[in-house]
Amino acid sequence: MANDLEFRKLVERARAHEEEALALIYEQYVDRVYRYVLLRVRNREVAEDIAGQTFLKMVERIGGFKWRGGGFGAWLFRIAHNNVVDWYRRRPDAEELDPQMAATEAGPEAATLAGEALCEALETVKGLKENQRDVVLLRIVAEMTTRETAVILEISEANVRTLLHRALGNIQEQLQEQAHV
Amino acid sequence: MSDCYEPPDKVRKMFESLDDIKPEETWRGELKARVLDRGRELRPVARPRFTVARRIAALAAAFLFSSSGVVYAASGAMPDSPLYPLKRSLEKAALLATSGRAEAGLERAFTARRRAEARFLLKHEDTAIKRGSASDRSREKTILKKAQEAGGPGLKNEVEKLRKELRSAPAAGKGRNHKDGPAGPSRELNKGQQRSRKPPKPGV
Repeated sequence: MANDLEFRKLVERARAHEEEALALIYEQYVDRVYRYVLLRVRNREVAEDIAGQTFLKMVERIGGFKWRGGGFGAWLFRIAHNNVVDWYRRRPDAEELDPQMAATEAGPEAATLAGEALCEALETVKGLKENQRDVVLLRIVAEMTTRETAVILEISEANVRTLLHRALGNIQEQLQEQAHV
Repeated sequence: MSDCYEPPDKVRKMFESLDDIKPEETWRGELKARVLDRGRELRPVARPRFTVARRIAALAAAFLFSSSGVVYAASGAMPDSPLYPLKRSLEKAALLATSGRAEAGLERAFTARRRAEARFLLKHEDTAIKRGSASDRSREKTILKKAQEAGGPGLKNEVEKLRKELRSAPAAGKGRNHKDGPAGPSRELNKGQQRSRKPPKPGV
Protein backbone atom coordinates (compact mmCIF):
# COMPACT_ATOMS: atom_id res chain seq x y z
CA MET A 1 0.00 0.00 0.00
CA ALA A 2 2.83 2.38 0.89
CA ASN A 3 4.42 1.59 -2.47
CA ASP A 4 1.16 2.41 -4.22
CA LEU A 5 1.01 5.77 -2.50
CA GLU A 6 4.63 6.49 -3.30
CA PHE A 7 4.03 5.59 -6.91
CA ARG A 8 0.95 7.81 -7.05
CA LYS A 9 3.00 10.72 -5.76
CA LEU A 10 5.64 9.96 -8.37
CA VAL A 11 3.07 10.02 -11.14
CA GLU A 12 1.63 13.30 -9.86
CA ARG A 13 5.10 14.82 -10.00
CA ALA A 14 5.56 13.44 -13.50
CA ARG A 15 2.27 15.04 -14.50
CA ALA A 16 3.91 18.37 -13.72
CA HIS A 17 6.78 17.25 -16.00
CA GLU A 18 9.21 17.16 -13.11
CA GLU A 19 12.43 15.79 -14.56
CA GLU A 20 13.35 13.39 -11.78
CA ALA A 21 9.87 11.86 -11.72
CA LEU A 22 9.82 11.38 -15.49
CA ALA A 23 13.25 9.75 -15.34
CA LEU A 24 12.18 7.32 -12.61
CA ILE A 25 9.02 6.31 -14.46
CA TYR A 26 11.00 5.86 -17.64
CA GLU A 27 13.49 3.56 -15.92
CA GLN A 28 10.67 1.56 -14.35
CA TYR A 29 8.88 0.83 -17.61
CA VAL A 30 11.32 1.08 -20.52
CA ASP A 31 12.53 -2.54 -20.51
CA ARG A 32 9.03 -4.00 -20.22
CA VAL A 33 7.61 -1.74 -22.92
CA TYR A 34 10.48 -2.57 -25.24
CA ARG A 35 10.17 -6.31 -24.61
CA TYR A 36 6.41 -6.27 -25.13
CA VAL A 37 6.64 -4.30 -28.36
CA LEU A 38 9.51 -6.48 -29.61
CA LEU A 39 7.46 -9.64 -29.17
CA ARG A 40 4.51 -7.99 -30.88
CA VAL A 41 6.32 -6.64 -33.95
CA ARG A 42 9.19 -9.16 -34.12
CA ASN A 43 11.59 -6.51 -35.49
CA ARG A 44 14.16 -4.77 -33.30
CA GLU A 45 14.39 -1.45 -35.12
CA VAL A 46 10.63 -1.18 -35.28
CA ALA A 47 10.41 -2.07 -31.60
CA GLU A 48 12.83 0.75 -30.75
CA ASP A 49 10.85 3.16 -32.89
CA ILE A 50 7.48 2.22 -31.39
CA ALA A 51 8.79 2.14 -27.83
CA GLY A 52 10.28 5.60 -28.39
CA GLN A 53 6.96 6.91 -29.69
CA THR A 54 5.24 5.40 -26.66
CA PHE A 55 7.38 7.26 -24.15
CA LEU A 56 7.25 10.57 -26.01
CA LYS A 57 3.46 10.30 -26.14
CA MET A 58 3.52 9.48 -22.45
CA VAL A 59 5.30 12.76 -21.71
CA GLU A 60 2.96 14.73 -23.95
CA ARG A 61 -0.24 13.20 -22.56
CA ILE A 62 0.65 12.64 -18.94
CA GLY A 63 -0.80 16.02 -18.00
CA GLY A 64 -4.24 14.64 -18.88
CA PHE A 65 -3.77 11.28 -17.16
CA LYS A 66 -6.46 10.39 -14.62
CA TRP A 67 -6.48 7.63 -12.04
CA ARG A 68 -9.21 5.34 -13.21
CA GLY A 69 -9.60 1.78 -14.42
CA GLY A 70 -6.26 0.05 -14.68
CA GLY A 71 -3.98 2.79 -13.39
CA PHE A 72 -0.82 4.27 -14.85
CA GLY A 73 0.73 1.01 -16.14
CA ALA A 74 -2.40 0.14 -18.09
CA TRP A 75 -2.52 3.66 -19.49
CA LEU A 76 1.07 3.47 -20.69
CA PHE A 77 0.75 0.01 -22.21
CA ARG A 78 -2.46 1.06 -23.91
CA ILE A 79 -0.41 3.71 -25.71
CA ALA A 80 2.14 1.01 -26.66
CA HIS A 81 -0.61 -1.38 -27.76
CA ASN A 82 -2.27 1.27 -29.93
CA ASN A 83 1.07 2.23 -31.49
CA VAL A 84 1.64 -1.42 -32.43
CA VAL A 85 -1.86 -1.72 -33.89
CA ASP A 86 -1.30 1.46 -35.93
CA TRP A 87 2.02 0.13 -37.17
CA TYR A 88 0.43 -3.13 -38.32
CA ARG A 89 -2.23 -1.22 -40.18
CA ARG A 90 0.45 0.71 -42.05
CA ARG A 91 2.99 -2.15 -42.54
CA PRO A 92 1.30 -5.56 -42.46
CA ASP A 93 4.18 -7.33 -44.25
CA ALA A 94 6.89 -6.44 -41.76
CA GLU A 95 10.26 -8.20 -41.86
CA GLU A 96 10.66 -11.03 -39.36
CA LEU A 97 13.14 -10.70 -36.52
CA ASP A 98 16.50 -12.39 -36.58
CA PRO A 99 16.52 -14.00 -33.13
CA GLN A 100 20.31 -13.88 -32.90
CA MET A 101 20.18 -10.09 -33.15
CA ALA A 102 17.55 -9.72 -30.48
CA ALA A 103 19.76 -10.28 -27.44
CA THR A 104 21.95 -7.34 -26.38
CA GLU A 105 23.51 -8.27 -23.09
CA ALA A 106 27.28 -8.27 -22.80
CA GLY A 107 28.83 -11.65 -23.31
CA PRO A 108 28.10 -14.08 -26.12
CA GLU A 109 26.77 -16.78 -23.81
CA ALA A 110 24.06 -14.61 -22.34
CA ALA A 111 23.25 -13.21 -25.75
CA THR A 112 22.80 -16.66 -27.15
CA LEU A 113 20.63 -17.80 -24.26
CA ALA A 114 18.47 -14.71 -24.50
CA GLY A 115 18.25 -15.12 -28.23
CA GLU A 116 17.17 -18.73 -27.86
CA ALA A 117 14.54 -17.77 -25.33
CA LEU A 118 13.28 -15.05 -27.59
CA CYS A 119 13.25 -17.35 -30.56
CA GLU A 120 11.31 -19.96 -28.64
CA ALA A 121 8.87 -17.36 -27.30
CA LEU A 122 8.33 -15.89 -30.73
CA GLU A 123 7.61 -19.25 -32.22
CA THR A 124 5.27 -20.07 -29.40
CA VAL A 125 3.14 -16.93 -29.55
CA LYS A 126 3.16 -16.99 -33.32
CA GLY A 127 0.93 -20.05 -33.21
CA LEU A 128 -1.65 -18.34 -30.95
CA LYS A 129 -4.77 -16.51 -31.99
CA GLU A 130 -4.35 -12.73 -31.96
CA ASN A 131 -6.45 -12.09 -28.85
CA GLN A 132 -4.72 -14.92 -26.95
CA ARG A 133 -1.32 -13.60 -27.98
CA ASP A 134 -2.21 -10.09 -26.79
CA VAL A 135 -3.31 -11.40 -23.40
CA VAL A 136 -0.22 -13.58 -22.97
CA LEU A 137 2.18 -10.78 -23.86
CA LEU A 138 0.47 -8.26 -21.59
CA ARG A 139 -0.01 -10.57 -18.64
CA ILE A 140 3.33 -12.31 -18.78
CA VAL A 141 5.84 -10.19 -20.68
CA ALA A 142 4.50 -6.75 -19.70
CA GLU A 143 3.59 -8.02 -16.20
CA MET A 144 0.16 -6.42 -16.24
CA THR A 145 -2.54 -7.61 -13.84
CA THR A 146 -5.78 -9.14 -15.13
CA ARG A 147 -7.57 -5.85 -14.51
CA GLU A 148 -4.91 -3.79 -16.28
CA THR A 149 -4.95 -6.19 -19.24
CA ALA A 150 -8.74 -5.91 -19.42
CA VAL A 151 -8.49 -2.11 -19.51
CA ILE A 152 -5.82 -2.11 -22.20
CA LEU A 153 -7.64 -4.53 -24.46
CA GLU A 154 -11.09 -3.17 -23.57
CA ILE A 155 -12.45 -6.57 -22.64
CA SER A 156 -13.79 -7.99 -19.40
CA GLU A 157 -11.56 -9.48 -16.71
CA ALA A 158 -13.35 -12.80 -17.13
CA ASN A 159 -12.49 -12.72 -20.80
CA VAL A 160 -8.83 -12.05 -19.96
CA ARG A 161 -8.73 -15.05 -17.66
CA THR A 162 -10.37 -17.30 -20.22
CA LEU A 163 -8.07 -16.19 -23.02
CA LEU A 164 -4.98 -16.65 -20.86
CA HIS A 165 -6.07 -20.11 -19.78
CA ARG A 166 -6.59 -21.18 -23.37
CA ALA A 167 -3.36 -19.53 -24.55
CA LEU A 168 -1.23 -21.23 -21.93
CA GLY A 169 -2.93 -24.52 -22.72
CA ASN A 170 -2.03 -24.11 -26.40
CA ILE A 171 1.55 -23.17 -25.53
CA GLN A 172 1.84 -26.22 -23.33
CA GLU A 173 0.67 -28.43 -26.16
CA GLN A 174 3.14 -26.83 -28.58
CA LEU A 175 6.05 -27.35 -26.20
CA GLN A 176 5.07 -30.97 -25.62
CA GLU A 177 4.87 -31.55 -29.38
CA GLN A 178 8.31 -29.98 -29.83
CA ALA A 179 9.71 -32.15 -27.06
CA HIS A 180 8.43 -35.29 -28.75
CA VAL A 181 9.81 -34.29 -32.16
CA MET B 1 1.08 -13.93 -13.01
CA SER B 2 -0.22 -14.22 -9.46
CA ASP B 3 -3.91 -13.50 -10.02
CA CYS B 4 -4.55 -16.13 -12.68
CA TYR B 5 -4.24 -19.71 -13.74
CA GLU B 6 -0.68 -20.92 -13.04
CA PRO B 7 1.07 -22.07 -16.19
CA PRO B 8 3.14 -25.22 -16.34
CA ASP B 9 6.76 -24.81 -15.23
CA LYS B 10 8.22 -25.06 -18.69
CA VAL B 11 6.00 -22.29 -19.98
CA ARG B 12 6.78 -20.12 -17.00
CA LYS B 13 10.52 -20.67 -17.41
CA MET B 14 10.35 -19.82 -21.07
CA PHE B 15 8.76 -16.50 -20.40
CA GLU B 16 10.86 -15.72 -17.35
CA SER B 17 14.03 -16.07 -19.42
CA LEU B 18 12.72 -13.23 -21.55
CA ASP B 19 13.68 -10.90 -18.70
CA ASP B 20 17.17 -11.05 -20.14
CA ILE B 21 15.94 -9.39 -23.30
CA LYS B 22 16.74 -5.71 -22.94
CA PRO B 23 17.21 -2.78 -25.28
CA GLU B 24 20.65 -1.48 -26.22
CA GLU B 25 22.11 0.89 -23.65
CA THR B 26 22.83 3.54 -26.30
CA TRP B 27 19.25 3.55 -27.50
CA ARG B 28 18.01 3.51 -23.88
CA GLY B 29 20.11 6.56 -22.98
CA GLU B 30 19.22 8.51 -26.10
CA LEU B 31 15.51 7.91 -25.65
CA LYS B 32 15.72 8.95 -22.01
CA ALA B 33 17.35 12.22 -23.03
CA ARG B 34 14.62 12.87 -25.60
CA VAL B 35 11.91 12.11 -23.06
CA LEU B 36 13.40 14.48 -20.50
CA ASP B 37 13.94 17.20 -23.13
CA ARG B 38 10.31 16.93 -24.10
CA GLY B 39 9.33 17.15 -20.46
CA ARG B 40 11.34 20.35 -20.12
CA GLU B 41 9.61 21.85 -23.14
CA LEU B 42 6.21 21.06 -21.70
CA ARG B 43 6.92 22.09 -18.13
CA PRO B 44 4.77 25.08 -17.18
CA VAL B 45 6.73 28.30 -16.71
CA ALA B 46 6.69 29.37 -13.09
CA ARG B 47 4.99 32.73 -12.82
CA PRO B 48 5.68 35.11 -10.00
CA ARG B 49 2.81 34.98 -7.57
CA PHE B 50 2.57 38.70 -7.36
CA THR B 51 3.38 41.10 -10.14
CA VAL B 52 3.85 44.77 -9.42
CA ALA B 53 0.39 45.55 -10.81
CA ARG B 54 -1.20 42.91 -8.59
CA ARG B 55 0.56 44.31 -5.55
CA ILE B 56 -0.72 47.79 -6.27
CA ALA B 57 -4.23 46.47 -6.78
CA ALA B 58 -4.00 44.45 -3.57
CA LEU B 59 -2.82 47.49 -1.62
CA ALA B 60 -5.56 49.66 -3.11
CA ALA B 61 -8.19 47.05 -2.28
CA ALA B 62 -6.83 46.66 1.25
CA PHE B 63 -6.89 50.41 1.67
CA LEU B 64 -10.45 50.74 0.45
CA PHE B 65 -11.83 47.83 2.43
CA SER B 66 -10.01 48.73 5.62
CA SER B 67 -10.69 52.44 5.48
CA SER B 68 -14.13 52.60 3.91
CA GLY B 69 -15.36 54.58 6.91
CA VAL B 70 -12.58 57.10 6.45
CA VAL B 71 -13.33 57.33 2.73
CA TYR B 72 -16.99 57.97 3.50
CA ALA B 73 -16.13 60.67 6.02
CA ALA B 74 -13.67 62.27 3.61
CA SER B 75 -16.30 62.61 0.91
CA GLY B 76 -18.01 65.42 2.82
CA ALA B 77 -14.89 67.10 4.22
CA MET B 78 -14.57 70.86 3.91
CA PRO B 79 -11.30 72.66 3.20
CA ASP B 80 -10.56 73.25 6.85
CA SER B 81 -10.89 69.52 7.67
CA PRO B 82 -7.81 67.28 8.02
CA LEU B 83 -9.58 64.81 5.70
CA TYR B 84 -9.85 67.39 2.91
CA PRO B 85 -6.53 66.36 1.21
CA LEU B 86 -7.78 62.76 1.15
CA LYS B 87 -11.02 63.91 -0.48
CA ARG B 88 -9.06 65.72 -3.20
CA SER B 89 -6.83 62.66 -3.76
CA LEU B 90 -9.88 60.42 -4.15
CA GLU B 91 -11.36 62.87 -6.66
CA LYS B 92 -8.15 62.82 -8.70
CA ALA B 93 -8.09 59.00 -8.60
CA ALA B 94 -11.71 58.89 -9.74
CA LEU B 95 -10.94 61.19 -12.68
CA LEU B 96 -7.95 59.04 -13.65
CA ALA B 97 -10.11 55.92 -13.60
CA THR B 98 -12.76 57.36 -15.92
CA SER B 99 -12.86 58.79 -19.38
CA GLY B 100 -15.28 60.27 -21.86
CA ARG B 101 -18.73 61.16 -20.63
CA ALA B 102 -18.14 59.74 -17.18
CA GLU B 103 -15.07 61.90 -16.75
CA ALA B 104 -16.95 65.01 -17.91
CA GLY B 105 -19.74 64.24 -15.45
CA LEU B 106 -17.28 63.85 -12.62
CA GLU B 107 -15.56 67.11 -13.49
CA ARG B 108 -18.91 68.94 -13.36
CA ALA B 109 -19.67 67.36 -10.02
CA PHE B 110 -16.27 68.29 -8.61
CA THR B 111 -16.60 71.85 -9.92
CA ALA B 112 -19.90 72.12 -8.06
CA ARG B 113 -18.10 70.89 -4.96
CA ARG B 114 -15.43 73.57 -5.36
CA ARG B 115 -18.11 76.22 -5.52
CA ALA B 116 -19.72 74.87 -2.36
CA GLU B 117 -16.34 74.81 -0.66
CA ALA B 118 -15.62 78.33 -1.89
CA ARG B 119 -18.85 79.52 -0.29
CA PHE B 120 -17.82 77.77 2.89
CA LEU B 121 -14.44 79.48 2.84
CA LEU B 122 -15.91 82.87 2.17
CA LYS B 123 -18.21 82.35 5.09
CA HIS B 124 -15.16 81.60 7.21
CA GLU B 125 -13.49 84.72 5.91
CA ASP B 126 -16.51 86.77 6.74
CA THR B 127 -16.62 85.29 10.21
CA ALA B 128 -13.00 86.17 10.71
CA ILE B 129 -13.61 89.73 9.62
CA LYS B 130 -16.55 90.01 11.99
CA ARG B 131 -14.54 88.89 14.97
CA GLY B 132 -12.89 91.66 16.71
CA SER B 133 -9.52 90.21 17.79
CA ALA B 134 -6.55 90.35 15.52
CA SER B 135 -5.39 86.93 16.66
CA ASP B 136 -8.73 85.40 15.62
CA ARG B 137 -8.47 87.01 12.22
CA SER B 138 -4.89 85.89 11.89
CA ARG B 139 -5.77 82.32 12.84
CA GLU B 140 -8.68 82.25 10.42
CA LYS B 141 -6.51 83.65 7.67
CA THR B 142 -3.99 80.88 8.24
CA ILE B 143 -6.73 78.25 8.11
CA LEU B 144 -8.17 79.74 4.95
CA LYS B 145 -4.78 79.98 3.31
CA LYS B 146 -4.00 76.34 4.09
CA ALA B 147 -7.46 75.29 2.92
CA GLN B 148 -7.06 77.06 -0.37
CA GLU B 149 -3.63 75.54 -0.85
CA ALA B 150 -5.10 72.08 -0.18
CA GLY B 151 -7.85 72.77 -2.67
CA GLY B 152 -5.35 73.70 -5.30
CA PRO B 153 -5.87 76.16 -8.14
CA GLY B 154 -9.40 74.80 -8.72
CA LEU B 155 -10.61 75.96 -5.35
CA LYS B 156 -8.72 79.23 -5.45
CA ASN B 157 -10.27 80.06 -8.80
CA GLU B 158 -13.73 79.25 -7.53
CA VAL B 159 -13.23 81.45 -4.50
CA GLU B 160 -12.14 84.37 -6.66
CA LYS B 161 -14.97 83.79 -9.10
CA LEU B 162 -17.47 83.67 -6.30
CA ARG B 163 -16.10 86.85 -4.74
CA LYS B 164 -16.48 88.67 -8.03
CA GLU B 165 -19.99 87.33 -8.46
CA LEU B 166 -20.94 88.38 -4.98
CA ARG B 167 -19.46 91.84 -5.41
CA SER B 168 -21.27 92.38 -8.66
CA ALA B 169 -24.54 90.76 -7.58
CA PRO B 170 -25.91 93.40 -5.15
CA ALA B 171 -25.24 96.32 -7.60
CA ALA B 172 -26.89 94.66 -10.57
CA GLY B 173 -29.54 92.87 -8.58
CA LYS B 174 -28.37 89.58 -10.03
CA GLY B 175 -26.92 86.46 -8.61
CA ARG B 176 -28.66 86.70 -5.31
CA ASN B 177 -29.36 83.30 -4.06
CA HIS B 178 -32.18 83.21 -1.60
CA LYS B 179 -31.17 79.67 -0.75
CA ASP B 180 -28.22 81.15 1.04
CA GLY B 181 -30.64 82.41 3.63
CA PRO B 182 -30.10 85.20 6.09
CA ALA B 183 -26.88 83.69 7.29
CA GLY B 184 -25.65 83.02 3.80
CA PRO B 185 -22.17 84.15 2.94
CA SER B 186 -23.32 86.35 0.08
CA ARG B 187 -25.30 88.77 2.20
CA GLU B 188 -22.84 88.66 5.04
CA LEU B 189 -19.93 89.15 2.67
CA ASN B 190 -21.65 91.94 0.88
CA LYS B 191 -22.23 93.64 4.15
CA GLY B 192 -18.65 93.12 5.18
CA GLN B 193 -17.23 94.35 1.93
CA GLN B 194 -19.59 97.24 1.61
CA ARG B 195 -18.76 98.40 5.09
CA SER B 196 -15.41 99.54 3.95
CA ARG B 197 -16.59 101.11 0.71
CA LYS B 198 -20.04 102.56 0.79
CA PRO B 199 -22.99 102.57 3.03
CA PRO B 200 -25.43 99.66 2.67
CA LYS B 201 -28.46 100.19 0.57
CA PRO B 202 -31.63 100.55 2.44
CA GLY B 203 -33.58 97.38 2.79
CA VAL B 204 -30.63 95.13 1.97
